[in-house]
Amino acid sequence: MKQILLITIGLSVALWADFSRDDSTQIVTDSTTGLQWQDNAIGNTMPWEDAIAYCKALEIDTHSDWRLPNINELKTIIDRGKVFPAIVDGFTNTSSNYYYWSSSTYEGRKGNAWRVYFYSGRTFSYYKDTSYYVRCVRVGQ
Amino acid sequence: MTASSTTTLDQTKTKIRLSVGSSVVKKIGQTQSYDESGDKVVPISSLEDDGYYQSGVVAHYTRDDATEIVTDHLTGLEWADDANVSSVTKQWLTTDNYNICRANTSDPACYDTNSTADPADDTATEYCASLALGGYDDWRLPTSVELEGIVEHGNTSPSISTVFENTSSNGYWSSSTYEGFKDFAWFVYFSSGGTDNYYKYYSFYVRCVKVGQ
Repeated sequence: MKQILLITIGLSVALWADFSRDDSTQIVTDSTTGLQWQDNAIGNTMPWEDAIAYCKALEIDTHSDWRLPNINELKTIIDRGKVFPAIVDGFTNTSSNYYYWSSSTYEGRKGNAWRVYFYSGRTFSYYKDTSYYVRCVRVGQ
Repeated sequence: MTASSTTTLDQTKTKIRLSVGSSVVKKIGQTQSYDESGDKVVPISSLEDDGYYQSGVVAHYTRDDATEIVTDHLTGLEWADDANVSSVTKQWLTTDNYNICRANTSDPACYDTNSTADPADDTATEYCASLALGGYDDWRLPTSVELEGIVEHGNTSPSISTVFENTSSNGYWSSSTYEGFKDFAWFVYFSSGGTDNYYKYYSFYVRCVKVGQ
């Protein structure tokens, strides 16, 4: 019984969401999803199609396979236990006062795409020609 | 460690299930690319959006029609799906507790938890605590992350898998308090699939959850 309990607790720690930031590459890795996140500068806001092109052209630490995250991926870095910004520990560059684009179109109005407001953790869709912040993602090795 | 008893073990089990769940990123269900005007992009490779990548794992739900419970096989969570899910609305806090909370947002009355809740209160938390669906007694209100985990953005009104038979295209309460204003809690709007926060006195729909066996 004692052994089982200890093993269980060990597993729990190992599987709990774990974000670590490499300060030289400024990339945050989530060991539970395997996703790697851009975390260099807060950067500029831009319309949705430009955000897709920006991630496609991005190169960090010889990695050139960046893309705009879909809304489910972007939600995995929200921490609603916090505010201003409501983002998991590990990120150092996040704008609290504006939305971030996802690559997912809103099915109810296809000229809209989904966004995350990292001020609070709210998710909401809006017109694709509006300018918001961008955080690109790639699948780690 | 052993002295910390069943509670610790139960919490640990829950944590494992949830952490396994949170490591799985489900597909959105979007299969086409749409440009700024909402027009379909042809060929699909010319705009590398979610319709192009379709990243993630395919969601897998089954419904037991006898118990009216839907199982999410990726997270291990089991969801109430009886007729009440699309008809019953509940306040997050009673009006009395809401007024106490609004006056002092650090008052324990802000949290409808085991220590402060009255089983007689007609709230979302108490509704789940007293639910006996399928003969189970461990139903609870889902966290915001658990609840938005069953949103299917490829559908709207309601934005959920068609395996679920009872969903109102309206707001559903989560158990998560909004840290910015503690008299607000998070809800998921199953018309669009968005997540937002609102006053705890308000009545939204309720879909209770339990961790599978």
